[in-house]
Amino acid sequence: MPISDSITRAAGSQRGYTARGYAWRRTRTRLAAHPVASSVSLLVLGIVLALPVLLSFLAMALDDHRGDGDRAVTLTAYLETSVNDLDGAALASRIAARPDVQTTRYISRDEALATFEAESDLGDALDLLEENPLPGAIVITPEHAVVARDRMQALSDEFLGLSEIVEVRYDLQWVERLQAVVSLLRVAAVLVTGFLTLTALLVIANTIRLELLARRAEREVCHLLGASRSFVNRPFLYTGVLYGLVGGVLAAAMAVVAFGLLKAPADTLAGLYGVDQGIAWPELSRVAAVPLLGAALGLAAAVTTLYSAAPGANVTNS
Amino acid sequence: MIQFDAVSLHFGAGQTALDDVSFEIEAGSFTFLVGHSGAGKSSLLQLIARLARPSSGSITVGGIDYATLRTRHEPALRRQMGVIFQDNQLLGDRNVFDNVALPLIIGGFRYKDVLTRVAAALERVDLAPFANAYPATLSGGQQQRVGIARALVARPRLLLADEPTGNLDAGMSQEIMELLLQFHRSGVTVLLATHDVSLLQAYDLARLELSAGRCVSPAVAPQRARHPLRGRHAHQ
Ligand SMILES: Nc1ncnc2c1ncn2[C@@H]1O[C@H](COP(=O)(O)OP(=O)(O)OP(=O)(O)O)[C@@H](O)[C@H]1O
Ligand SMILES: [Mg+2]
Repeated sequence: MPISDSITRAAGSQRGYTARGYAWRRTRTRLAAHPVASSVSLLVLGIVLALPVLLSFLAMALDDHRGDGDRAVTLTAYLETSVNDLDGAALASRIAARPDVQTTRYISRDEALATFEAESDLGDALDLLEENPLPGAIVITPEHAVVARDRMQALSDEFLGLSEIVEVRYDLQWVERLQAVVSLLRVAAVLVTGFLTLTALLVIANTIRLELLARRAEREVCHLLGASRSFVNRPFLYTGVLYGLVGGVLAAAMAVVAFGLLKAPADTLAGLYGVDQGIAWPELSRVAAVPLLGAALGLAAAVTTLYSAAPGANVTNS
Repeated sequence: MIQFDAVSLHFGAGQTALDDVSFEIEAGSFTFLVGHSGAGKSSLLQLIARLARPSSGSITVGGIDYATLRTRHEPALRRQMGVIFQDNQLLGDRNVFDNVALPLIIGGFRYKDVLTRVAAALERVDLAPFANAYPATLSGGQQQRVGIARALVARPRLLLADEPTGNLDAGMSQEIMELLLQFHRSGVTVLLATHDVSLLQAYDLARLELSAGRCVSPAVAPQRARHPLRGRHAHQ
């Protein structure tokens, strides 16, 4: 039988007539049916997620900085003047082999002298002495994990126990200050991220719950017509994913803008602590991960809503 | 086709919708389900559609014993039935075409089949020109016909109708009834719950009568029904 024009005109596009296509079509139609409410929800979601995203960008930038700690945190072990260059260098490489030490650098007595003469006004004074009075030294860069006052102290005590080493010096003050600030920020970030992520979850869950109520008739009819639970639930899962995805895009955009605004003052601050290159922009892959995480969050919100407090799909008439 | 054996349905404390109901409906029959309001007609249809479960007794539909039916197979069972209600339960947010197409989407039909089947179903209920109309713009009778098209578009073997003419005037009721008979003649087993007296008078078909949740002997013996109801009524 030929299909009349009125039928083909009434039918939507082919894609909307598979189970998945239908679910997407329903999701989009519902979103578009209340454009203002949908936009407000999405904006709320974006704003709520923007702060945790920004904090994680900042935390990652700070983490990156712990990598260039060469000049940041080091111990300097001064050797007995009797130790010759060969033994000094051997000791340096032995220390470097320790698991809690990243690298070492041996500074010979001659090198120490040269540096002293170049950097100090008193350099000429040393010419008066017959012998080089400066000891050899090993500059030790410990692993990141070791950079804490008690660990540094323990490490320093161990080195002092070696017969070749007479003195160990390190300056932790600025590192400790920076770390205090960073760990404070970190705890605050974890708390804020936790609370706001939970808020975002609730925003999406609430949206889904309202959708469930608004579409109760549709769900009941589908149930009655023999739809499986997954068919009935799919549009709501898609709604959750879509909200999370779009919310994530908005959040990422806002966080990048905010990061840009914070970068200059943060770089100045970093400069004050002796870190020259400032904080790095978040990598593109990290920015791109935000919408995906948002989508996962939306899916989680939808699943919990659907499979916990879902108003039952019981069908009653009369 | 449908077999009830000592079926009871209770709701909570003391509410009894069906009490020890036994009957058998043969494939290809057209049966009126009659009884006053609250007699348990809707409850009986819901049991058949597996929208409710009996408190006791056994139900067999199309050879499937409901006692052994798994929950995950219920949707597939429902897809083999057509269901029509008094409030036609059309979805107001989509046009007639999409309302009728819904069972086919659920059933996973191909797009081409969706088009031809919906077209054919709308042709049968004489609503092809209204494919693009929204349910709210249709008359009660037209809406009910859309409901019938939707119930029959996937070509079920069994049609359950719960007072489909309840909201309609006599002329429209008859129109709907003729349509159901037409489908019946093409082989669909129909169970139609009604307390529309004029309908019962106009069509002398098999009857299953309920009274206060119990199955009572048919008031009028079926004459013209092709497959009369074989009563295996409640033991009293
Ligand atoms: N969900 C329910 N909870 C409690 N009682 C119910 C429920 N559904 C039906 N009942 C009771 O079961 C009995 C039968 O109801 P049912 O809806 O099956 O009657 P009916 O014959 O369809 O009536 P009507 O002609 O008015 O539609 C009634 O007493 C009703 O109050
Ligand atoms: Mg009823």
